[in-house]
Amino acid sequence: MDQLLALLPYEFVQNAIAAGFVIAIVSGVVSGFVVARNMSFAVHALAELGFTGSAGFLLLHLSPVLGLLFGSAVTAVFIGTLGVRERGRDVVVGVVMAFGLGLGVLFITLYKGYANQAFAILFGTITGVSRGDVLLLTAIGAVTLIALAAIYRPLVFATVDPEVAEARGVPVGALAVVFLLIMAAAVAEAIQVVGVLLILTLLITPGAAAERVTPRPGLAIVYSVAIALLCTLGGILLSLTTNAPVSVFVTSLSFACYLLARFAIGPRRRELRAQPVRAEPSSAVAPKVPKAG
Amino acid sequence: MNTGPAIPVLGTENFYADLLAQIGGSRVTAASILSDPTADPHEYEASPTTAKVVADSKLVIVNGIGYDSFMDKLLGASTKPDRVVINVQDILGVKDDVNVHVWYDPATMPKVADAAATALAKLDPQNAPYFAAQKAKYLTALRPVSDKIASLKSKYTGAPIAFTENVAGYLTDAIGLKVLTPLSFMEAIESGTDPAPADVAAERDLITGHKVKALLYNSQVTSALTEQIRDLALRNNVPVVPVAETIPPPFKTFQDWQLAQLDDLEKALAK
Repeated sequence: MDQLLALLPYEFVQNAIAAGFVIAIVSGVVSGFVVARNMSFAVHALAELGFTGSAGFLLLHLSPVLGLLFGSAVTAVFIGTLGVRERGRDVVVGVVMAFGLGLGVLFITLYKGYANQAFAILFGTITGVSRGDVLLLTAIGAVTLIALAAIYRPLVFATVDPEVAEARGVPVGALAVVFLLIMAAAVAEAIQVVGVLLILTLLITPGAAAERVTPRPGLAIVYSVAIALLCTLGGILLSLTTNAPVSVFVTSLSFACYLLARFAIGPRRRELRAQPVRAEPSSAVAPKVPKAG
Repeated sequence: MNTGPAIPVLGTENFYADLLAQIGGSRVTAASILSDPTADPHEYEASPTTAKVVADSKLVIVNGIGYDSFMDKLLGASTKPDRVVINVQDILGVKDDVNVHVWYDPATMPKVADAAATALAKLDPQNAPYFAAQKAKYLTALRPVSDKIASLKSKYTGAPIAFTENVAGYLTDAIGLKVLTPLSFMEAIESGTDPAPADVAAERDLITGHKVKALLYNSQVTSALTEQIRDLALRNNVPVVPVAETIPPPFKTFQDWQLAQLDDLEKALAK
């Protein structure tokens, strides 16, 4: 506790907490859709192929950070256009990721300098966040959330029941690409701050835990954000008191949340819903969808 | 000497911390981040304690050339207008595409010592003469290293050797040794990609054909392939000289470490 109080005045600690706050909110929201749309593997691919982008840009003597964004965005477009249907999407992701990583190895081989800079981009440290990073994260986070809000209703519809949504004229394919691009922005921006490990944890686990607690998409996003905030801020504070790296605690906390949601809270909620007294379940499964057209 | 609280200083790699400890003497407390030789610098996640050391340090030495790029982030996270950062890449005026292990160049450490002594004198002007004297001691302690390099040069210029990775390239250039390992092989090992089969064959032929007098082997960052090459050399009675990236135990100073490696190299070349 003494150590925590001694560390709190440090600028890097305040930056870490601010960055953690922003990333947790964005990840929590995006995570709800990642899980509902079954896109965990795609998150992984976006993160990995950011590496290919940064290696390629390094080779061209351009900014590896922009390369990361570029790599993730191109991957998003490929996965979005080739794998619109949920069935077979994992295969598309695997195919694109394998080729992309191979391309990354080629870039690294061609590059004559100390190529570890390209890998370094994938290993952010939350103790190394600058004021400028916090501002940039906040800006990107705001854009991401605004874009998500703009497509929220059709996206929920297309996520819950893609066939019906498509039949009613919702542009399911375009939505998939737009959502992937939003994911790419979230991944690429946060990855150099928190690293590939925390990105996977924050973009998958909170949504997965929330989904076990409630079937309502809107409520699931609220829970998901709460879980992401708890894990990130809790992880930073625990790390400050114990000196173990932040990612150890964030990943452990979010895993604990998932187990809790899956085996303790989730089943009980399901039992409650199973009682036929209340009429809620049917309306909960089919959320208030927009009148398309 | 005027006393007061010791100045917290940081050498990112342990040989720069050793330089600061030797030149700062009793006036500094020197810390380093990369002292565990097996830690891979680019996969490094700084703990809050490390970040605090960076935040508290008044003088920081970084290598640059991408070797310790995580320091850009750690320094950026704790702005401190009065902190002095010595970037060795800037001192040497080299680009990003040179061999990163510049501390193996005999000309590098004296330049870093100059910059460190100047920076310490600025932080603690009253003790400027003390730092100047300590720097002179540091340079004197380096002399046996440069003497050894000169003596090896007179005997073994042009002697062929093989590398697993280009760690000691500046040093073997200074001695005038001829590195026969294909450049693309060393680059692949260093960046962690697969070397081309033809390059692996060429490297093995150097050893099995006894075309080299010694194999200089990166003893800290190893892989299955580099271990195979080392074992091949041992089986073929080609002397293996381990070279490290940072000061390995049991050595305490840069000079002791470099001298011990040069002694090993001399024994190998004399065979």
